[in-house]
Amino acid sequence: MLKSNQIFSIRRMAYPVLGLALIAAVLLHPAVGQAIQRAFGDRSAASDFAPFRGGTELDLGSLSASQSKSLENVIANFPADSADVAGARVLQGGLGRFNSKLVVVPSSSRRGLCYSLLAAAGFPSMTYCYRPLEAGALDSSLSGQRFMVSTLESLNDGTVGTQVFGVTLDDVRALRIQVDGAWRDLPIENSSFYLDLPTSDLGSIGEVEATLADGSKQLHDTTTGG
Amino acid sequence: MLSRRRRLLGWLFLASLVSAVCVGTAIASTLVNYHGAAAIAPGGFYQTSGPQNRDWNASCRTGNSGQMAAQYTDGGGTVYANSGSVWTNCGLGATASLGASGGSWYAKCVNTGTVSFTVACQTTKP
Repeated sequence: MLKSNQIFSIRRMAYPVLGLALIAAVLLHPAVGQAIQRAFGDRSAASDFAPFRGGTELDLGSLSASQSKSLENVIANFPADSADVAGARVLQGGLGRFNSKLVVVPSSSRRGLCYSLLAAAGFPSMTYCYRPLEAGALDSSLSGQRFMVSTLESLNDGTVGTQVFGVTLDDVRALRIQVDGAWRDLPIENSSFYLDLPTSDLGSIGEVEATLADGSKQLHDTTTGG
Repeated sequence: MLSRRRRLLGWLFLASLVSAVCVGTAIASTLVNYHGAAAIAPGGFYQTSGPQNRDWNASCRTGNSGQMAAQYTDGGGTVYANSGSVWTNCGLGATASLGASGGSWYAKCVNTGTVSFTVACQTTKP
């Protein structure tokens, strides 16, 4: 027969063991595992995403008032929390006719990213946001694509021109773009690219082709966006 | 009687409260939806009721993925800025947006895809 103080001792040991077993059961459940992966896995992956390691830290004081306003809208609307904003980078500056900056900001608690072309005078500026790191968060036409490209057409002083810009992952070795049927190189710098076409409208731009480290090619059709 | 330090702290608290309310109001009043409940066909669009000084125009397809463009126009045939056709999905955070710092334009969002769908289009003034 167990004495009452022995029973008490066994109970004292049983509760923590049962508690640990319960915690282990909850953690080992597949749904919980997936939730943890979503909550933490994507975030650690985001910090490895090439554009977040390139360029320089964003110094808000270095932006013009118009650039700050555009970025404010991006941060408020997509949304970016304080940790996202702290991870913002300037990938390129002094770009093209509009002395633009190419900035990347993590969004949605590092689950996504926004890249912005910010003209010094505010116009023309454009931002594209997406979640390249989240499984199933890209259309099948874009899934696995190792870069993202945007085209911003604008009317300035009576002339229509287009700026091409975007971001790349580490394994993109080269990019080129079709303009009026001819291929032109798109130089990559700090996991990003930019090309100013002052007299080309959107209709004159075709596909963007990426060459990856393993020699394979990927195509993005700018006329459809995918 | 309150000490000067307590009164100062009180004023600081009041000032921060007023600032928070002002900032909150500013953010809350930032966005104006200009889309409708009806789906738009390929090539169809929504646009604001009039021109305003623009600093923001964002668009995405709701409920699924779809190609869209965000534009600033004169309300007719002149396009001042055009994001081109972009893959969007509001639920997955894939959105195209235009910035600016003034310019009396209409904000417009266009279905550049191949099927009809509903959209979310937002700007900062109607």
